Amino acid sequence: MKVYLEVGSFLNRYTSGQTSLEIDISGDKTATEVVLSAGVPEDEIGFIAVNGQKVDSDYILKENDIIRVYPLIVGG
Amino acid sequence: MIYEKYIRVLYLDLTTKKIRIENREDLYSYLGGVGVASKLLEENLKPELDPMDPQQPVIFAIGAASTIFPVVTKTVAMFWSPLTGELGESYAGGRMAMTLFLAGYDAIVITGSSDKPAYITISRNNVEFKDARALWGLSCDEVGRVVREREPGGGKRSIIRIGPAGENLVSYACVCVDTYRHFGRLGLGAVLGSKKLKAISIVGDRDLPIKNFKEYFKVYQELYNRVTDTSIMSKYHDAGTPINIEPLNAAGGLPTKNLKQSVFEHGDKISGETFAHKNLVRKMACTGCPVGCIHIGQFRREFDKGHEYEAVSVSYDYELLFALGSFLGIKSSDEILQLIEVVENLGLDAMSTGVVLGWATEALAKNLITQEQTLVPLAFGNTQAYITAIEYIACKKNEFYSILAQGADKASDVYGGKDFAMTFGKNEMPGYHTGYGSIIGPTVGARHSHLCNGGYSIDQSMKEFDKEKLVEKIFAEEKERCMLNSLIICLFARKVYDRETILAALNSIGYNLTNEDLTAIGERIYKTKLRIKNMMGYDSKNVRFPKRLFETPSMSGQLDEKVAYELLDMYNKKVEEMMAKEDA
Repeated sequence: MKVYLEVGSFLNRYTSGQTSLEIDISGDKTATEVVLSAGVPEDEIGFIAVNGQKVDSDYILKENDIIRVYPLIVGG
Repeated sequence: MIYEKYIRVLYLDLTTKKIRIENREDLYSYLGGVGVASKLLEENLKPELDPMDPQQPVIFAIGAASTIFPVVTKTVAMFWSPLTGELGESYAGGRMAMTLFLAGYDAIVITGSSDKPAYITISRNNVEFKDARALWGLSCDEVGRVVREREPGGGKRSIIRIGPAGENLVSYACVCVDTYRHFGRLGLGAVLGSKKLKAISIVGDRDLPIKNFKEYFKVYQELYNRVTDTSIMSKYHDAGTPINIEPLNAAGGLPTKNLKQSVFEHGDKISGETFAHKNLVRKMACTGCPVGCIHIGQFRREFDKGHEYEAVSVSYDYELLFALGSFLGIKSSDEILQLIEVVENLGLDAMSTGVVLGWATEALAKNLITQEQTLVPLAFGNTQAYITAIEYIACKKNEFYSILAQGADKASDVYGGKDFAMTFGKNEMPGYHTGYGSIIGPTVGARHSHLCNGGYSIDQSMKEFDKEKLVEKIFAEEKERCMLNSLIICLFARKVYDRETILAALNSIGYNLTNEDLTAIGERIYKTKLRIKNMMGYDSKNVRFPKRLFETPSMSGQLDEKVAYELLDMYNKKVEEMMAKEDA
């Protein structure tokens, strides 16, 4: 099945500059697995949203889900 | 002082114009930075006198590793805060640490008050008190320009100065450092204003050979490579901290419209990406930092009819975009930069100014105050009204603005609206509504800043909420940062400077410290700060949270007021235990 991954401006350095990816997955896959497989390092992930809603890291993806990965909040 | 077993302190008295220098061996165990500054504040404070009494001291100090290693760039200022009525502690980058280091001073203690406006010039062989009557009333930008033209030392010089807000004793007036950096928080500008001290110019031109260069350079290179070749610091250079707008807004942690909301419907218009795309023109760095996190944005201003425009440059970062952006419902990057420029030139703390105006906007809407008092129709999104209101705060235009100039807590004492006066320990809130850490952290923090212990960051890293763990982490981080701030490392680089690295760095320049020593130094400094707070009359048991924190959902969901007070009690017990050990 197809899912879509959106990657913001900072994290897209890990996806060769791509900000929007269409990804084919088979079987149960979590949102985190898809984000990691796209190349985003685990320690750079702030949180993940699916279809506009923040989800737990073990959220199982469904057909046509739109995943967006957000960077960590930074500061002093 | 590097390679010496003492701290070199320059004492300046503005009343008597007397100068003296002491090499203080007894301060050596406090390393430098906030350790030395808090000790100097403790011994020079006059608790029986008013916080703004001329005899009260202002302390500046650099750290044990200032400018010697990468990203160790800060100077600390300590004072009695006119905003909170207790511990004032603020940090600034720029060139100040480098110039103090190369002028040969670890710390400066300023007491007294000048009979007429003055500025001070400091170099390694000379200190002079000079007439600043012609500078009084000038903006931060203007006074910087004049002192630059009048005083020698360009390139090896730092100029710190106050604007009209400091002169007029606005409780959250800031001190501008080298144009784009600031001692922003807690009203140091007002304290300098009360001393009639408009500016300080410091020239550092000493040549200082490094001993045992091989060992030093090995540590330096490792640090430099970690800073420049890994991703640890790259986000600070890239879009910078404004990158926070997007995740905080998406997760429901972005304080918006006086925290009536934690999601801003126009967040994408003020995001780090938007600023980078529309306004970013330059990046700069503090001296000694290879990162370059200072983001300069530009907006276009029509200064005359007939399509006469000028380009105006100001620095921006996340906290400013929150306080003068989402918190006031401002939905364009250009308008936020306009507000920043006004705040900068008048010499106000941007964070407090935005949060104070958020309170005033809601108080006006709720009829606690009237437009006869505000003089302008304060409303979320109304940039022009806010620009005028900021000018009125700086000059204390009327009785209402005189009270607003004392902060949101004071204003809500007078006019009501305490439940939505968004302060922690009387200091206006930072830009994080992330969970209990973002509330407890600045509340218990010695200076009521999110930077005391990074509570917001702990919210983010905790997989599951656990009261004990949260309190323990905040407590441990508060002490750890006391140690880090004695060096003084820019906290952006705290992940680069782990304990092993700190020991390698310090020991390569002549210290002989262990991991246990660093722990003891952190605790020693924290206890000193707590003793000072006690001298100033602070009692953590009197703290009250604004109810708004528990009405608007946070990034971690709805928060419970009872839980917050429980966490506060737990933290206070830890502090009591630590202080009791010292007394035993």
